[in-house]
Amino acid sequence: MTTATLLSAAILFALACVVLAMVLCTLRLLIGPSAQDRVLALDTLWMCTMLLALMLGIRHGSEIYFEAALIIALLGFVSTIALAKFLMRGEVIE
Amino acid sequence: MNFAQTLPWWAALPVAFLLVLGGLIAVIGTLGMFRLKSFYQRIHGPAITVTLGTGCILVASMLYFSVAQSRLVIHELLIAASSEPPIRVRAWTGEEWGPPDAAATLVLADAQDVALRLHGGVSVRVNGVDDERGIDDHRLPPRSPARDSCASSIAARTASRSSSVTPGRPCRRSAVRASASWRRRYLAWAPIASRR
Repeated sequence: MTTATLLSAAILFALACVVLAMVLCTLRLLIGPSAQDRVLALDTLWMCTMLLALMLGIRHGSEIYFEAALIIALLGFVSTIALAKFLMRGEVIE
Repeated sequence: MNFAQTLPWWAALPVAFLLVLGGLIAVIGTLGMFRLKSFYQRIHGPAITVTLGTGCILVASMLYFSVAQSRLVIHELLIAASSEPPIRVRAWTGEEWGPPDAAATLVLADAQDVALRLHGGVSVRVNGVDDERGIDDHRLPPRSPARDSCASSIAARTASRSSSVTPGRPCRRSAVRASASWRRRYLAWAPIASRR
């Protein structure tokens, strides 16, 4: 078993896990009883997307995916804060 | 696939281990968010996913690129800085105040100003009902007078009677109309607000 097979198997397993996590997030996003559950699921979905981009970067050995992951992480953080602010105050910019 | 031909085994082994661990932690945390009953239980799963799962995969990425390019690649720390701090969701959803049945929650929640949507869980638990009605359909505790001016002006408009509206924060109708449940919350407490 070479290191290439080991790494590719590990990456495939982790990719499958994260895709399953994204499916669960989407289900919670759809069935969430309250708006807070949906925000939570959306935030986790952002994080899983970021993890997916990172692992694709490892899989293809490319640094380009890192910038995409960074942008996804920042946008997810800001959008989660904005949604939480909206739920808390009823408006985003006071 | 051309990435790992040059990677030595002492680097490939921890990278593979961290990737598998990160993927497993991510799916376990999300499974917790999917299956647990109440919101306050559900919020613990994504916390694990965000901190530990992301941390594992970030460390794996740092290790892989550092060894593959023979230089120190630590710019994944930028992602960690933007996603790791526990202020992320928990500061806005109230997990950092502990479980909602803690006595300190009422003190730390600072009487209705911190997170309006937190109070559903708090008041439901405090009343001993402990059901999972969620945090949307509940009765809010009385709020601070600065925000009550808005609610009382709405009450005056709907009941078409002149009440003494204390000057406070100006009422923004568009914000109140943003969601129907929001408006319902304000109207539910309007009599108490105008009585004060």
